[in-house]
Amino acid sequence: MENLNLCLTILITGFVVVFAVLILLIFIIKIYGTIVSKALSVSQEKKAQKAAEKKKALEQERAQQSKKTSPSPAVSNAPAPTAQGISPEIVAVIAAAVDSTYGAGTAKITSIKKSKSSNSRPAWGMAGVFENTRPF
Amino acid sequence: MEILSGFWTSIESLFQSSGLTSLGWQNYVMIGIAIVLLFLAIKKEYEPLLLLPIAFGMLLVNLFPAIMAAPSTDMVPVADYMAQHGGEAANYAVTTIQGVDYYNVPTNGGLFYYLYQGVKLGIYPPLIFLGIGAMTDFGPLIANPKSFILGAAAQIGIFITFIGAILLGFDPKAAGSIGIIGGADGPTAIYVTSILKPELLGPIAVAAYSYMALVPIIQPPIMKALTTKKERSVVMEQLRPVSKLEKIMFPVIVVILIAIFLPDAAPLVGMLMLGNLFKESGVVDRICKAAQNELMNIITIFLGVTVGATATGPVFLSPDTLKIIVLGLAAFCIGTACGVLFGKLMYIFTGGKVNPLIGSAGVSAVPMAARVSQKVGQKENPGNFLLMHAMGPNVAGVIGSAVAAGVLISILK
Repeated sequence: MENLNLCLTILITGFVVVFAVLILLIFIIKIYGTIVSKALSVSQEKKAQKAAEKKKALEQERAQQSKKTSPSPAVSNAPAPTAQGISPEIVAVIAAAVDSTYGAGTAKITSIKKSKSSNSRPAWGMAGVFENTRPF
Repeated sequence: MEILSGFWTSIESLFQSSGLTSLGWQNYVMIGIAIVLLFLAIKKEYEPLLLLPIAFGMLLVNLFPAIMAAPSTDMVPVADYMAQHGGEAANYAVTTIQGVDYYNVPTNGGLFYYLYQGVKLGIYPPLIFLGIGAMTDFGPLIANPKSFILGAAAQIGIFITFIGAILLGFDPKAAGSIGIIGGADGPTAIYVTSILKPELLGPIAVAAYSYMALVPIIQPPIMKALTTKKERSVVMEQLRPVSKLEKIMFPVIVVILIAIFLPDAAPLVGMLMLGNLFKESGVVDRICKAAQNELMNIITIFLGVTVGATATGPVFLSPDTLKIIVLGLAAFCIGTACGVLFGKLMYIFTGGKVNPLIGSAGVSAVPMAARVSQKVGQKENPGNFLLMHAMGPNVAGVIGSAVAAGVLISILK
């Protein structure tokens, strides 16, 4: 009789608690999912507006600078690089690398930024340091 | 002549200390079982990452039981000790029995004894959960939170098997440890058993991992028996994309909720969610990789060999082990059936939008159970891709089994 009581207690408690906790999670996930998606859509709209304004300003700037060279498809979609003081040659090299990796015309470069890494050691130097210090 | 006699004495003492004189028939049977498990792990690739170390631990402990021996204290007469050590006294505690002083000389335990403390103290299973969390994508579950219901339904097998175990004569703590096999989650089964009934760790771990390995064989007949061809052919709508912010918030919200309502499940769920936060935050890439790879692999080795080492002949070869294996299978089958039946309910309530086959994935066993749903669904309709839909209940099952473990521990501890 004692065992029967315990069995029923475990069965009912287990059933109720597991379902209650997981159903509570369903509601919470649904609520925060809705909040997050709304918040994200608002911020995306703002970003899109800002990007459109920036694009307009850059187009005006470009119209003033008449360039002879015709950039690759990847470069034509890269408004930010020139604005950040990166030379067109570097932009062309990055665009060529992107084109060769993803296939011509399939990828867009939207911005190019200089890394803010405080580490002044070049990449090959870093690789050498890692190689020598890894065992320790 | 003296050399020959010395040689013979040495050989005799070597023979006396060898396994040939100290091992019983149960050890030899267990060695045979360990070799079969090794075969299944290597040749058939049944959960080899765990079955192989478990089988080898089983083999080793039955060949050399002292590898699992606890540290002990030898009583050495003080006079003998001093004679052996050039008359020097030691700092050991002295016990006097019938006027003779004895040093209590401590001896070290076996290698596996120390590694086993991680199991005994409930350290390894949460660390395994950390690695699982770092590898798991909860996106399908966040995209379709209703999957939680299927993850909960598949845990019913745990509680029904608990009743079965009580009816077969097990005490409540043992019954709880046996029932948790139905959660199809090895670390959870080990965690619960190490707290409730450590003596049964060997048979329960072997049963849990064996059934997890046999998911592709056990589940499809149950899934087919409980569903119609029409239900199995349902093509589900594509899941919505889940934003990074939602994925980051998920582990934090789940851990807050579960740790508050069910503190006993907090070590498992907490580590699972910590691992997942490592992954989703994207700011601790090194730690995330360590949790996914190095830590997970190291703990898997320790957990596997030491759990296997609990399966010594005299403990494992008992009628109780047979009962545990039968009850474990029942728990697994009931869990699968409940998941599918709740899947059918969802099929009815959604007007045929949910394929009931994804319900069987609620029994954790990530990602094997989800793969089985995909395979069975694709047999009916080759163009049907259920994998991502089944991953929702599958990862919900991991959380569900941890919650069920928390319930069992809080009531039976």
